[in-house]
Amino acid sequence: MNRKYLEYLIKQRKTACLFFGLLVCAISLSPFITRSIDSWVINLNTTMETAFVLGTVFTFVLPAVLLAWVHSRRSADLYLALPVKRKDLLITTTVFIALLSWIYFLIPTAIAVLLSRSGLQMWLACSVFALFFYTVMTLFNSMLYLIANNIFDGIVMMGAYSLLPVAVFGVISAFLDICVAGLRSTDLPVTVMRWLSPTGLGAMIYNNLLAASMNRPLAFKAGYFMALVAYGLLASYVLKAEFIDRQSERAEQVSDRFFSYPLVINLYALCILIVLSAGRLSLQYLRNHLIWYLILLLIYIVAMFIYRRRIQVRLKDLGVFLAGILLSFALSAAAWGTRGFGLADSYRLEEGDALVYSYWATVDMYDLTNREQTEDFWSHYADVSVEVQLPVPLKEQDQPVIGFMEEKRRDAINRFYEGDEIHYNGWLQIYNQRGIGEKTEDFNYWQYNMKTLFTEEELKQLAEYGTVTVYAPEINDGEPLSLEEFLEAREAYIHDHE
Amino acid sequence: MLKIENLYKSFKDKDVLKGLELQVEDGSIFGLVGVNGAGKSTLLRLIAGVYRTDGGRIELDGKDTYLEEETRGRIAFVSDEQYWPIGSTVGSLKLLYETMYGFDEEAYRKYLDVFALKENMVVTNLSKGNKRRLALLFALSVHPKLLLLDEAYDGLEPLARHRFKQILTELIEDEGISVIISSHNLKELEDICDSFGILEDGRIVSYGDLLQSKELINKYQVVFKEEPTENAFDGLEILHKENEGRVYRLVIRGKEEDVVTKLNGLNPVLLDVLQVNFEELFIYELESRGTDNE
Repeated sequence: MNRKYLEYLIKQRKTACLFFGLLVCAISLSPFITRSIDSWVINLNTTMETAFVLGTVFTFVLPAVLLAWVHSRRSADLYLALPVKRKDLLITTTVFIALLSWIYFLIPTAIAVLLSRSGLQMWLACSVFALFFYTVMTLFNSMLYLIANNIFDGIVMMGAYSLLPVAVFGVISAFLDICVAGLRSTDLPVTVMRWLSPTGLGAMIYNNLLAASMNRPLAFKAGYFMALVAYGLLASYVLKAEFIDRQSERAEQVSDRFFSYPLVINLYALCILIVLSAGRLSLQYLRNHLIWYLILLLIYIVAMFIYRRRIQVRLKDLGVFLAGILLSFALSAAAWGTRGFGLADSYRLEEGDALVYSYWATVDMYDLTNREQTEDFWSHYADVSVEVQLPVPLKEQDQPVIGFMEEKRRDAINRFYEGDEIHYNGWLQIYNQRGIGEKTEDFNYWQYNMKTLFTEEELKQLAEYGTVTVYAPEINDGEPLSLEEFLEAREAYIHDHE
Repeated sequence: MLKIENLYKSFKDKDVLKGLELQVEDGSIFGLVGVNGAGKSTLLRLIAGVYRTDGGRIELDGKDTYLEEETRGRIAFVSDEQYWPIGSTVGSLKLLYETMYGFDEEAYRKYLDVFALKENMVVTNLSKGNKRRLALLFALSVHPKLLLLDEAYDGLEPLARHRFKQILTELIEDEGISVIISSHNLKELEDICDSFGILEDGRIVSYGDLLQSKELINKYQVVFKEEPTENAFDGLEILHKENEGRVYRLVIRGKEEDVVTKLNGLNPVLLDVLQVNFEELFIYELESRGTDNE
């Protein structure tokens, strides 16, 4: 680190630093002004969260401000000719940004701890972590900013790479939704997003540290911490190439190095292609989606034009796009060929405190297996719902209903992968519950479209294990009835109308 | 002394410097000339440590200019396009030089007067000429051992140029600094430089004492009785030749006495010897090498 350069940075920016410091304090401590004295412990938590977020924001903004000179030829001439080694320039700038962000966190939170007279231990733990996190984020964001060759592209890179985990989350969610029969809840997209984003990892760790102060168990995951260390090391390694060994003549040129626009554009294009190709592949599917592939290709080529600042259709770009399409097709084919990579069959029954089977269908009230929406369907329709809640561990006496429902599930999954027509207005939902009787939490959630609906006989049998409710506006002014009540009322209705 | 050995630098596919060798003595003002794109600014940026070399060494008094912080502190680089942060004043800019270099407040005050600048002047409001003065002010205020001026001398009005020349003379006499000036204005360079180097095709192709070089190349205006034969000028290093009938204008490299003796052997009716200026020297040197970009 270069002491003189640090001194220069501090002296040069002291007014701005002071202004933003006061701003951060005012925003972070506002709960103490607006809320009553009784809720000061909650205020402390709010201040801890706000200050942490604002400090994080500075780790994004400050690299773009303090390293902007790298992207301009004229300023690079001035700064790179200074009697400071590039390594020291980088270390000093990083230390300045990380420390400043940390001080912005530290001051309002320390005041909040003093005012609330609590949370000292939590504050210490959070402060130590914040310093570490801000250092990692400074390195990581500096890396993203310096991948590019000019200021605008640097900011675009920071945005594009920071949002990439969110895009991946969306892609995985959509892909699984389309390719995995019944899957409605999975931690996979969130987990992947979290691991891909140092911001997400930091927020998780910090929230866990804060939660510990609210008498909740400390769920500190060493893996998250190690991942942040790995991100820091990766950023340091890349920064050696992008700053210390940088060819400074790159300033103000187009950002055409592999990790800048070429990779970013291709990654985002691949994300869209994966979603686009996620359906069951067939000629019909391709015909229906051809227009979208063409639009995407056009966007892809325009994106290439924009960053290169010249109009040029390269065969290589078309080849890469085509490779992306093939890759997305291959992924889709693999997903459909392996029943969603095996995820469709990976359901578990004995989880949590209860297993719930829930059925819902909109049918003809005269025939509970008929959902064909004829012209007068809505004049005599009925909503049938079934809910069977079985305590976990499952009992031997519940096996008949479990067997029946699981057969329906297997049938729905098989039909899904055999390409059977999708049927609406009849669903079977299967999920588990935690904390029965207290605060119930549903999880392990699956939902299937039913081809054949439950018959009256089957509904009668199911009524022995749970509740079967029928809502038929034509019969009972919209009041839900039990199956038995409904069948009786329907008999009477038919009799009255004959 | 600045010593450059086997210096290489390329930008993507373009080789700009190819094994360049150069030596600039202490107390010397070295004029660096070359056609557009020859690599003058690249060379100066390499010396200043702005660019990394692809190969070779640059040493000031035996120490690497890229790696040694102390050595870099003794080099002042005035780029062809100076950077001025938005809203900065002459006084606010001082902070950088004051903190990072061995800044001489007394010299700063002196040069502030010499260049007729004031600390409260807003840089963006300054004229182009005044911005050049400002860049020179800070470059001189850090007491450099080596001053690199990339076209920074161009465009100074005569009075400022005169003052600057006086300052450089004083600094060279008192402190033995070296100056490298790259410029397209060869007449201005001729006024101030004592040595020069012509940069072409990634190398210094002509190099040395300006006076000696100028003495070695002369223009000869010769009128012959009869048209000389094709081989008449054999043995002379002719850089430029043009004629109208029997009137020849020749630019020849070589000792004046030797060339005159040789030409007299061809029985001219008239033989005049004229001195070349730096601009002509540059043009004829490049012309003789087949470069004619400027």
